[in-house]
Amino acid sequence: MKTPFTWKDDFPVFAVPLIFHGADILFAIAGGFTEVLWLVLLASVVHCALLGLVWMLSKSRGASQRTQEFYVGP
Amino acid sequence: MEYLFHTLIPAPWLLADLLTLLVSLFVVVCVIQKSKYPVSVLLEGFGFVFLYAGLFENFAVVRGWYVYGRSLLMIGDVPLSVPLIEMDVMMVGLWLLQKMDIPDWCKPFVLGLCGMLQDFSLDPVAVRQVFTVQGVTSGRWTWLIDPSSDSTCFSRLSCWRSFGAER
Repeated sequence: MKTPFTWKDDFPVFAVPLIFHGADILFAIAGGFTEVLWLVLLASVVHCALLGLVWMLSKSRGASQRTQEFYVGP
Repeated sequence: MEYLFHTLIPAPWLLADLLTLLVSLFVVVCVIQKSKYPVSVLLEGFGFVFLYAGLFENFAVVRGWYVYGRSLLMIGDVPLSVPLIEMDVMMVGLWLLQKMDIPDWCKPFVLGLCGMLQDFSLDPVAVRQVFTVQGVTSGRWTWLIDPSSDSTCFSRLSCWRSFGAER
């Protein structure tokens, strides 16, 4: 990551896909489109997992950067 | 305006369109507040909606590949919410990529993957949303291509292959 993600600054990056996927799942359930629900759920889970992975990588990178910043020694 | 009040729009279509408009407004506000170059980014979004996505979606409708149901706000024969969703996904995808330390050549593929995953959840629902309003049945998104006809890409490819074999 060039710069770590922060929820305060970057929440639209994660919120917008979540809102759209959530709406798709709700419309699929409300409309009774059970034959396509698996596809909607699968795409949503994969997309959210990818975003979650990016978020976790960003957090771990941010933590290691902070450790380096405060490390004083040989 | 006359059209707006004479044609009822199914409630799920209306709700989906309103949600898209709200999310797009939210994205625009976030870009204005958080982007270093908000004017350029908003111009890019405007151009994407009206000069790119709006045009190619209308082209597909004119070509007879698919049709959209009527909605509150339309660009030609395409609901405004369609290019707006594409713009939202593109903008947040670019935002994500801007902060990721990956090679530049990977970025279009990652953005394409994000768009495809969004489509995989949106499109099946849109295709199934068929309603009868005032005696007329229409779908939110209806494909008109017959998979068995010669107009599909695969059929044309096989035609070209057989044509090449004859030569």
